Amino acid sequence: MSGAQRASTGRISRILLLYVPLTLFLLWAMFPVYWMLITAIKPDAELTSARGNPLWVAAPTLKNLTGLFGETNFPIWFRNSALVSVLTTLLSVVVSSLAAYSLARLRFRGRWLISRGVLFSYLVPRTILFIPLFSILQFLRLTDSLAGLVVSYLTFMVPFCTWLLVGYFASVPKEVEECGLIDGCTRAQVLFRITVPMAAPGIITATLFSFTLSWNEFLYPLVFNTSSLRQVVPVGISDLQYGDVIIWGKIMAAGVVFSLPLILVYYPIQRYLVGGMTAGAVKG
Amino acid sequence: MVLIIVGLVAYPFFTAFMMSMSDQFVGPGYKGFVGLKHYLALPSDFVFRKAISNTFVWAFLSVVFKLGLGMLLALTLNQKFPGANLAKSLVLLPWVIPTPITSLVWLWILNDMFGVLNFMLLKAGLIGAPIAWLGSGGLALLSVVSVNIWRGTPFFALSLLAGLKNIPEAQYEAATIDGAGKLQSFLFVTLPNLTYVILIASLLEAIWSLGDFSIVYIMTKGGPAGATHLISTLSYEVGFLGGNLGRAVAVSLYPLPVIALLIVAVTYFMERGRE
Repeated sequence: MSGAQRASTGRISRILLLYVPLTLFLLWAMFPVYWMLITAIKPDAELTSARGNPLWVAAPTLKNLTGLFGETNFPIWFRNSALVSVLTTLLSVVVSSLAAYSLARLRFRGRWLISRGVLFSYLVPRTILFIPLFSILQFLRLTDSLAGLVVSYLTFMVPFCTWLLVGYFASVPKEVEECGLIDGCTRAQVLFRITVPMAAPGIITATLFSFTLSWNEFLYPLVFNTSSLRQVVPVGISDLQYGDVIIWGKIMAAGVVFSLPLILVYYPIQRYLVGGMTAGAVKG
Repeated sequence: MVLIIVGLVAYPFFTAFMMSMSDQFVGPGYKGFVGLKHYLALPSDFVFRKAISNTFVWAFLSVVFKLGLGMLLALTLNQKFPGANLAKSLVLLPWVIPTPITSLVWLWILNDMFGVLNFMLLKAGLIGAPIAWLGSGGLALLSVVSVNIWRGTPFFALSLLAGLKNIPEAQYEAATIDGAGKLQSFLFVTLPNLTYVILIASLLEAIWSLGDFSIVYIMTKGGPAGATHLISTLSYEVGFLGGNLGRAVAVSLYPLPVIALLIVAVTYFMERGRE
């Protein structure tokens, strides 16, 4: 056991090799998050006062939170973010599952080229495609609309999910499906009763990543949507900073509210996700 | 259906090439073919040259530091200690917080008047006067890169950690019997086993960081005076603040040969890994 060997080399080396770096990493990773939380419950006066300890809060307040919901368009942005992310996730997972299944199972000409193309499409940076997409959306009269955002998000999420899912579908043994066919299932029944449940970890991973990708997306809504009522949270709150000089309390409160869904969703299934990511992106 | 998906990207790509050779301004319709005018004009533009070098500096530092720190973090977390699972969850936080939020939090931490970083450094006596972290060229670029490193290190660490867990214990035992020390075990057992993970993660990171936008846009808008512009933020500025879409697309297409090369490399290794 390497753990036992390391312990035997003495306490000092354990402190140097484990506890010192661990503490530094934890401080580094957690301080900004702590700072966001503490700022979110600070009254404006404390944010800019030279007296007192900025690392603590003397008179915690919920005014930033109530102000965020009462005085800004945040509730609308939040609703828009939720609507666009849920819709995009559903659409991309359904479409990608079908596409991935056909790539993993059916033999047809050009299959190799298409699966390569799918991976390419996902990897091409969005910063190259945003202007042509803008002019296409303009032509379709979809700029400044939530529908336009859904369409534009699908252009990078479908390739990603498809590529991720091909691996999972390919890992379902063909023989299991053939048993189903012999027992009298139709092709569709085989897909939904056998293959989909067996590829469930992949589908869950794809769902979570789709949701996260659209929840985080900044460039497309910034470029495609101009009116505040059709904006999503990331772009909406980064515009807040130029309205008033001292609204860091509200911005950080927005950050906390906007991060919560991801933290609540991620933590229980964190292991799943990292496994999925390494299986999909790293292990291949 | 699959054709539609590929079309969703292939068509914009085609449009991109056409636009980059036109004098199109904001507004519908295709206007005026100008050939390679933008491509030929850009290299003599100082801000463009700065954006190109910034982008590669940004990508290089991101890959090197995320990989280095990620490796240190992974080796730390790979040891057995009470609360290891909790520690793993906590170091994952930077990766879970949405990037636009991360950028805003750091913007506030680095604020030159009321930012907490200056406060702590002043209190500790490490600096004599507040530093404008985002106020001067070179420092501003380092500041925004370090935010990107903060955000991306956990992903590297967890990918590497998954790789570390897969290394058979017997290899370490064999190395120890052969008289290898800790450093030698790391160099001759750990690293060779992680080659594949390191290769793929670094290539992906290089591709992603060549296309990064939101951290720089939110924190500096490419300023001060274009000192932190990446290709992406410059392209946005030229296209949507300057209105010259044709030139903007040409800006964004310039690094494409490098990106294409990296994509070919990573797809090659991934497909091989899948088999």
